[in-house]
Amino acid sequence: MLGLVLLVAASSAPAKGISKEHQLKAAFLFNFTKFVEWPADRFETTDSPIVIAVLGRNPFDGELHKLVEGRSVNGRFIHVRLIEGADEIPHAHVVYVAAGEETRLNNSIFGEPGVLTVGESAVFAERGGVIRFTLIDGKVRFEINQASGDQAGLKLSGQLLKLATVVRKTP
Amino acid sequence: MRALHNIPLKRKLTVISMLTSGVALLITCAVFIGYDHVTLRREIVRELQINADIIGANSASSLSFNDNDSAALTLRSLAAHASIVRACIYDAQGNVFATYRQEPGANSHWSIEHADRAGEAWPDAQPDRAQFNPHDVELFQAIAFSGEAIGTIYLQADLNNLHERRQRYVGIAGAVLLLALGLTWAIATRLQRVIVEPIVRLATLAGVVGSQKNYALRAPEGGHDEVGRLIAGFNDMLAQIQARDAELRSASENLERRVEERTQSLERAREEMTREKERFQFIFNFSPIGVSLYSTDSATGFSENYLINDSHLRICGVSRDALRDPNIFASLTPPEDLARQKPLQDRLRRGEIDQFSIEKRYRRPDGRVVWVVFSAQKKTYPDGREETLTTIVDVTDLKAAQEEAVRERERFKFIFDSLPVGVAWMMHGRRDTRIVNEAHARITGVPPERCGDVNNYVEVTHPDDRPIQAAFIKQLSRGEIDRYSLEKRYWRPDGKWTWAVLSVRLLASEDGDTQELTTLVDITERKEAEVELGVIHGKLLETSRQAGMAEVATGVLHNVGNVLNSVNVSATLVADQVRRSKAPNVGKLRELFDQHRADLGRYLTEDPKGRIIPTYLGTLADALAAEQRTIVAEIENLQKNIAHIKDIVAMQQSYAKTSGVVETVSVPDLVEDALRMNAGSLARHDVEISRLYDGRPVITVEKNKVLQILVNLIRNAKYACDDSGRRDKLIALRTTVEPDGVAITISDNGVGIPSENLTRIFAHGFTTRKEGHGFGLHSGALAAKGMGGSLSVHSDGPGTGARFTLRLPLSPPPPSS
Repeated sequence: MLGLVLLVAASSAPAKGISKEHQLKAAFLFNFTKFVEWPADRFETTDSPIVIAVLGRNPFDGELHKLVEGRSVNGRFIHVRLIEGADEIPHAHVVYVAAGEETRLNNSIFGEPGVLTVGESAVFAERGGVIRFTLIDGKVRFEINQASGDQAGLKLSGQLLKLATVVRKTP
Repeated sequence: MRALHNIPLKRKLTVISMLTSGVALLITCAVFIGYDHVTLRREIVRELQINADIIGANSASSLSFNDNDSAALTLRSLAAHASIVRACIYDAQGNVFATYRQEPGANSHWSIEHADRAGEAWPDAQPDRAQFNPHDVELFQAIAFSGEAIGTIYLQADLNNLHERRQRYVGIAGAVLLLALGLTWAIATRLQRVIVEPIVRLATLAGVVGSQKNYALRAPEGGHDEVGRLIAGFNDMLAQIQARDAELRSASENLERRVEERTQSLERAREEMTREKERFQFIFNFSPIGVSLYSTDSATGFSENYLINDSHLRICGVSRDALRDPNIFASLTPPEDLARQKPLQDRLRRGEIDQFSIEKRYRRPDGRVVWVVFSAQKKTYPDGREETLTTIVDVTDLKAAQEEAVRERERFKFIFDSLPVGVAWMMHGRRDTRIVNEAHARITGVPPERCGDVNNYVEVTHPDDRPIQAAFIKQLSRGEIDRYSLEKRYWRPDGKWTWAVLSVRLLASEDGDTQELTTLVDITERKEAEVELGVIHGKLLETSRQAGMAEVATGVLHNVGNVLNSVNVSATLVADQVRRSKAPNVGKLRELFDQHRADLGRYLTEDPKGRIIPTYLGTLADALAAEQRTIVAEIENLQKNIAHIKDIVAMQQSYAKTSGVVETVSVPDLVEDALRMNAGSLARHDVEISRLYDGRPVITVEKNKVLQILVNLIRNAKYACDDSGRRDKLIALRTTVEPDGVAITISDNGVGIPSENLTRIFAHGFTTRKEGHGFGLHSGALAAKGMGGSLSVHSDGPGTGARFTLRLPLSPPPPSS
């Protein structure tokens, strides 16, 4: 199913003007939810959905919506929301911050407990973002700030850490 | 197995023992090796699956985040497993994602000849499965993570372990087998002697017996096991063979004789069959019935095996050569007969009927026409073959006879119907067979076609005649009588009655049935004549009656005359007595007394004459008294006779007066009266009368008629006695009481009646006496019948007397209309 969706996304990408890079990033955003364990109080019930919020600019242009539609992780459906302000962050489980957006909103997006922040820039990583996408040899990779993750009360899987290019253990 | 047959028993036993243990060991080893092989294969697959699981779990994130290097690193952990030759991870789309190959020479398992496989291309991703190849095993297993299939893992392992282990096992099994067979051989050669040796001895003996045919030889006895029993059995068998050999020799001689006999009887049977066949041919050809037989094959419709006998040809007047024309018989048949035969034949051929029979003609070539009964019948056999049998019987003569019978019948009919007498015939009790002729129909007025219903005849019968005929019919049906005859009346449409004499008679016919023949004669004319005759007869009867009365009167006068004779005698006696009376002597005495009135005393006492007077007076008184007695007696006699005459006259008057009046009287009194009326002549002719009255029965009759009959019968009896001339004339009178009346018998020992007269004695005008008029018995019989009684006679012949019997009912029959 995933393969099919990726295939569709890949073939339709040029028409929509979405880069291969952002297709992969959308898939990574979805796959992160499989390797992260949230504190139990972040969900009302055992089948409450996982909410992925795209803050400010949305580089995925509906790709993310299509990708998560009808799919579930550990019995929870995935909802994608486009949010504008930091005040909506506490309602999300994953918050993607496109490059440049972190400067617009200052520090208000960090330090929210139980929220996995995913960003693009070095600034984002410096200010306390948990996962940052990087490009190495044209391949999409990611860095993890384990201290930020611990601070936010998230448990990151060993398999996820194994794949990260850099794991920062101090704040 | 067959190879074992001809080798000595000793080796046979060895071979069997070794084969048995060898096979058992082989099976055991094969099962063990097979089991171990299967178990090991399963173990190998399990180990591969566990490795696949571990690699799958560890490469889930690599697949998720598209990190080939990480996945390759994970695969490299397989280097610890010497048997795993190469491995590969496919992503969800089945593209090769990460690979692993064992380095050549890294371990001893991956032999040099299989090394080229390491360079082979990767197979396409496949669903979960494990596949064993000759030298390796391949496994595909899906990688699932978080409920989704995210890729597939492929593992290839060599089977060196498996092969090595199998070789080792086969080696061990071979060693065990060799050891076991060696041991078996050693034991078998020692033990077989116990069994084989007695058998070999027995076999040698059997060989000797077989070649020498000497059944007297015996084998030495063995133990109590099967071989011992075999030897004992063999000896028994020899003994039996010895006995049977002798029997056989004699039986074989017997058998030869029986074969000879059987051959002879077969020969006889064959001869018998030949004769049977000849006999059949003879019957077939010389039977007076024409026969032909042909079979038809239903498939082709062709006739075959056409068989026809000589009689068939003879009847039709054709030769056997004529049969070449297939339509010969049809051409001989007149067209109108053919038209009747053809449809039947067609129906037979179609199977709608299975037989038919018709009468037809053949116009023979010689011009003669023969009538035949032609019958055909068809038989269908289960195999579809059909056989048709036709027979013809020459009935020309029969036909002629039938025509003659028809003519005969017409003649009979003509005579039957022309008879002036009515005739009806039927089988007794079967009205449906009744035939009547025209005269019968004319007399009865019942048309012939309605003759079957007896009621038609009853209706036209006079009501008075019906019960009479019904009584006869009843008697007839009970078998009490075989015929009856009566005069009866049939009603005519003109309102008058036809009188006829009907006679019915039963005739037993030869075949046991009974025929009933009825004749009817028209007697109407005679009856009418009889009515006239009846008038004349009535007049004659009256005359007769008057004559009878005259005779009675004669008898009465005769009796009166007799009595008058006595009266005359008495009167003469009295007259003589009176004439010769002593009474005048009293007058003489008075004169003497008058003469001697003065001295009467003296005269009576002294005068000699006067002195005798008193004495004389006494004598005179006595004489006068006697005289008086005589006269008184005579006068009494006279009075009695006069009373008698009075009685006679009174009796005659009473009979004459009471004619036609019915009275109740005592039978003996009647007989006594009749006797009294004949008393004079009976006394005169000195006829003795004997009486025997059975009680005093009382009957109600016309007294004068009965008396007239009895007087007449008594007189006849007296004449018969007179005519016989015998001295001891006797008439016996007897009355007897019978169930429905009384019988009065008057027998005499007179001349008797010849038998020829017995039947006509009551006929009108018959008499044997010169002065007889022949009315007496005739009118007597008629009168008896008129009173409901009868008058009959019996006599054994002339000189033996006769006996008349008058039978009367206790009361008169009701007056007839």
